[in-house]
Amino acid sequence: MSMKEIYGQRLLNARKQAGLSQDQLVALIGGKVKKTSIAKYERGEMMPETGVVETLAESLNQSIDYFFRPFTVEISSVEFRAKSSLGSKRAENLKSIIVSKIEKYLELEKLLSMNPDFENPLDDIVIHEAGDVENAAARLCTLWNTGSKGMGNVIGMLEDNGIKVIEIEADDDFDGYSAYANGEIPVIVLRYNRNTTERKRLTALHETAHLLLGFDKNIADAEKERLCHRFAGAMLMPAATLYRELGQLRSLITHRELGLLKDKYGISAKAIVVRAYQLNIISKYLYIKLLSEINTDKYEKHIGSNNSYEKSIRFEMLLSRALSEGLISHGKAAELAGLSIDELLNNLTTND
Amino acid sequence: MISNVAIDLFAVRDLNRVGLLTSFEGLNVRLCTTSTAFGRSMYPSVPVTVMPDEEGGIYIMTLSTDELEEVFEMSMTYREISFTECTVLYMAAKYCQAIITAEPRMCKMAAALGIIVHDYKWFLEQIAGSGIISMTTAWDKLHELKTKVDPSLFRDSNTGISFRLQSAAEVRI
Repeated sequence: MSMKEIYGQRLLNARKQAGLSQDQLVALIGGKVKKTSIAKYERGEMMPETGVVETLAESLNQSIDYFFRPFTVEISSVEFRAKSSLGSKRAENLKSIIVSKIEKYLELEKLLSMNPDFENPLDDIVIHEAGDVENAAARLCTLWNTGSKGMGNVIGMLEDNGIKVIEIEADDDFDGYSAYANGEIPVIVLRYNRNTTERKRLTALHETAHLLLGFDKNIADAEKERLCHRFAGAMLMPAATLYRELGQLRSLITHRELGLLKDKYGISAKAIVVRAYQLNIISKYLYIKLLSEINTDKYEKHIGSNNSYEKSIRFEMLLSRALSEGLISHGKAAELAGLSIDELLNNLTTND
Repeated sequence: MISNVAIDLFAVRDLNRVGLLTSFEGLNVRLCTTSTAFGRSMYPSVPVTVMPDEEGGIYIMTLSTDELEEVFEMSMTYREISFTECTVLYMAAKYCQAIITAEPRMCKMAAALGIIVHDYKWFLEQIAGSGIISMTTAWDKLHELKTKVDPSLFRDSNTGISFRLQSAAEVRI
């Protein structure tokens, strides 16, 4: 693509991300150029003068670098497993943000001469029913050495095993998303704001299931979602572990017990109850009763200590490595991190 | 004769933080950067001019669209620096005699392009040598720079503390 074409496509994406029409953008820059010019820029037919480039960048709250970054990433169609309120326009906006983040991630790896090759460890498995999911989860726990005591750091484990995890700010109607970038690089996107750690961990593993599991073609989408959820639960709390902790059959489970397990395994009380029901440890009656008690607060602040914390750090680690080894400039680091120069330098000195 | 010396945005930031950006006006040097690099700068206190013939501040040069195209080509090769840094490097190569930068990667790339690279010590020596500030003040400013900016910017230049500034420090001790 030529510079004009790249600039045009970036401008279009940035305008859409800002939720502006061409008319609104013209108004935002004080009529510095006409709507027809904006249209020509976006179609890659004309390049604005440098001053206009700068004004548009500032008005759209994007760095100049953003507009000149070549397109290097394609992701499969965005099928957000989210609440239905996420309309197609917002889905496209999110896709644009996600692609931009992945581009930076892959560029950073390239600058570090890292190979993003990934091999699906569950490639040979076809899922027909819940038992297959339990077996797949157990196999992955073994292959990834997670042990039977639950996972300490889910995001770190995924990143260590070649799955890129990106966290973005999003509304409540977005939970998670996964795709193969350029058809081969697995990427999981999570919402970092207004989200509990336990939910983030569960979502990360739910998306992992979407990436790694091959389903029987007769399984409907809704059932796939249930099976992916089961996979996430089985990874966080393998069947043997839950039997060991709760016993084979229970007529009552207290909030205190749920809180202790939630803190120990980093899994929500709700997911523990669902898992206990799936493994026939509790009756349907107790399952419904416990869920109704838990659901009085969707963040489950009334259960457990809620002190756990989990964050994707690999990108930041790679950025620091590239910077400290002198492989990239501070300006490049700021661009990749999506920070201003001052913010980047403040971060560096704060963390020192 | 006044010579054009490019300055990257980090150098603008750093020298401004230690109050030295108004000191160059007594030198036969015109500091230049690009509007693309400086455009979203958060340094409103830095004196600037956008007129090529005007004195009294850093000259903010606006590249033409054709030049931006050349920067774009350059940025395809120099992926290790940002596009905005490329504009400064491009301007330095085309319009300036040298560049002031302490950024290790920028230093390497500028040198590879045949641009003379000056670090902060050079700047301090110039203004101290011209009597704009004293040698001891220059030494103090150098230390201030080391403590106020990212230490990694000094990694490659730490070993060569200038003889003149070193002497000033010894006299002070």
